[in-house]
Amino acid sequence: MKKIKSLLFLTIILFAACQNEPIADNSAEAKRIISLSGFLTEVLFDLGYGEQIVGTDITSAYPSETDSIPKLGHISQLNAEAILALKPDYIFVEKSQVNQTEVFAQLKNAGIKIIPITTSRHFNNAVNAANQLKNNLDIEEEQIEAMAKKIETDSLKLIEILSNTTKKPKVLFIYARGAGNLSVSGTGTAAEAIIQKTGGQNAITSFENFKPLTPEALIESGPDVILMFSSGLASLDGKAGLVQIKGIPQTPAYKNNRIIAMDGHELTSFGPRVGETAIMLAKKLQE
Amino acid sequence: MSIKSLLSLPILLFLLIISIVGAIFLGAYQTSFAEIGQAMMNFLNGKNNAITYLIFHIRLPRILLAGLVGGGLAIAGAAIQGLFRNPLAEPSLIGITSGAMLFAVSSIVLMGSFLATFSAIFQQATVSIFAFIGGLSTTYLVYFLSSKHGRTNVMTMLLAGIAITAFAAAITGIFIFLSDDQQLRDITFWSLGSVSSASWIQLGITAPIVLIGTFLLNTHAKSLNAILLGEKEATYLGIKVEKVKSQIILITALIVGVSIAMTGIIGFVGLIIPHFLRLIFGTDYRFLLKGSALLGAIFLIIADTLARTIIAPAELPIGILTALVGAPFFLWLLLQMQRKNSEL
Repeated sequence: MKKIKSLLFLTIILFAACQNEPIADNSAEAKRIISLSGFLTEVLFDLGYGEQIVGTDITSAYPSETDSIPKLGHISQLNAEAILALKPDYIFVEKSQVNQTEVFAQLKNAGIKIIPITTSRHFNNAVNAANQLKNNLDIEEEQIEAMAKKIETDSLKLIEILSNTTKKPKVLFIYARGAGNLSVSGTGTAAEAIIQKTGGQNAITSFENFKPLTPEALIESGPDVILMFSSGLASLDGKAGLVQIKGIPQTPAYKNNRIIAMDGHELTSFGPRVGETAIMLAKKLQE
Repeated sequence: MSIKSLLSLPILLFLLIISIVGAIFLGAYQTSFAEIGQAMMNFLNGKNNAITYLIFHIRLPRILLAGLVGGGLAIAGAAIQGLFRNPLAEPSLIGITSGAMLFAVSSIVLMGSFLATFSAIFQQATVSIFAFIGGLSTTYLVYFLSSKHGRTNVMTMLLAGIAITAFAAAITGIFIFLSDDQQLRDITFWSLGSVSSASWIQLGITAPIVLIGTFLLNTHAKSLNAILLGEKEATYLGIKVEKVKSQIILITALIVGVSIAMTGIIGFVGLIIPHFLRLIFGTDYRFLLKGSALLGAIFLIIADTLARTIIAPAELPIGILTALVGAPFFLWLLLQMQRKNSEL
């Protein structure tokens, strides 16, 4: 019996030791981090790891401190050498993008740790990501709890706003890159996810993903609200440019002046500020 | 062959070696002499560290691939220009590029959702194989359309090439229309070319095709000189024109096909490099073919070194650089030559 007890004790200690190993690894000096996602960059900054980021992809534009961090370009056009030159300890990348480029295989072979982070289009996205980052970084539990708390508080506010209304406006999301390059969101996009979570419904349900915008489809969808990225609306020279597009002036959204433009990253990344963003959008949709 | 051009071959070879060595030392990752020496020792002893890996698995393969593709595209361009007796001809005229593009784009779009779960290397290999098949089969179609009773009409071939290219471009357009954002981005980058993913496996496939192809094209140098006089005249001189034609087209399709498959579309090299040499040394295919292969290799190695360093830590697609660097230089040379001629 004694033997069994001591064996059990030994097992527990060994088990604990195994568990401790990565933490021991973390306790070393500040790690050098590369973040290849605007969302992950924002989460890392939120958790206080901004100063350890030595390189980001082109979508990392928030917070403004990212301006001074070397930009590595688009994730499908990475320069393996330049990344090695930055001597990163970890490269964090969204799991859905890990098969984007052969460069990851090269980097892995060169001994760089590439950590894929699973993401989702739910309010707990940032907290989930933070919990995954904790496997490699020395993140304190309180910080993640603070992040979760903030999102939770905002979600409760959002629920309150939505419980006071029965309006479900039809929202058309237009993705614009200049006047000649407009597409609209069908189902299954991040834009649809945020629209549905803020009390709207997608004006287009007949196809998946994005399709080029046609005037007829635009009028047929009859949106109550048109939602765009600020950068997208700017690429059309604002609302004055939007009217020039055939079909837009005929929509209820335009007639009632209900064109909403919001920051693209804020709107679709489901990051740490998703609660604030959702409340802002919900209020605008309910106007 | 003139003495000037005889002398320039060793010089070009020397420059090629210089550019390879230079490219090994240059990069976003600063490496010293000592480090590279150390990396070589490690490599020979079978040890592996980050710098050894960087030099021997990232930098060296891409330098060699750039050299092979550059040389291959340039000599293919020179041979096609000779065959068609047309200075504007280049391999894309006989449908290789558009066919490869069509097949690559269709594989990106049609299998995008299916392939997304596979590793990047597998995805890339699939696109490569499709591009290679596309380039070859389109060229065969053009060749087949313009051949009758064992004779190939070069004029018909040129026109058939233009028609097939337009047709392939239209179908490519349909696939581009159907593509989502991600696929569209893949297509764009593919059509701008890149050697960044070069590996020893890719080199193992590319090197034999390009090197043997280059050697075989060279054996046709005299025939191409004779064809310069006209096909009939060449026949009177004892050249088996039809045989030369079919061989050159086959070899060109293989070289350009494998190049595009490995790197995407890298324009400009096949057209400009042979012309550049022609302007300086005149049209003698005994020199022009070898010279184009060497200069093409040098040109693309330098272009790729620029691609990976000038905007580091990001990277520029190489297809942009070849035109960006090459076009103004070529224009300058053209103007110089014009001035010289008017002085005479």
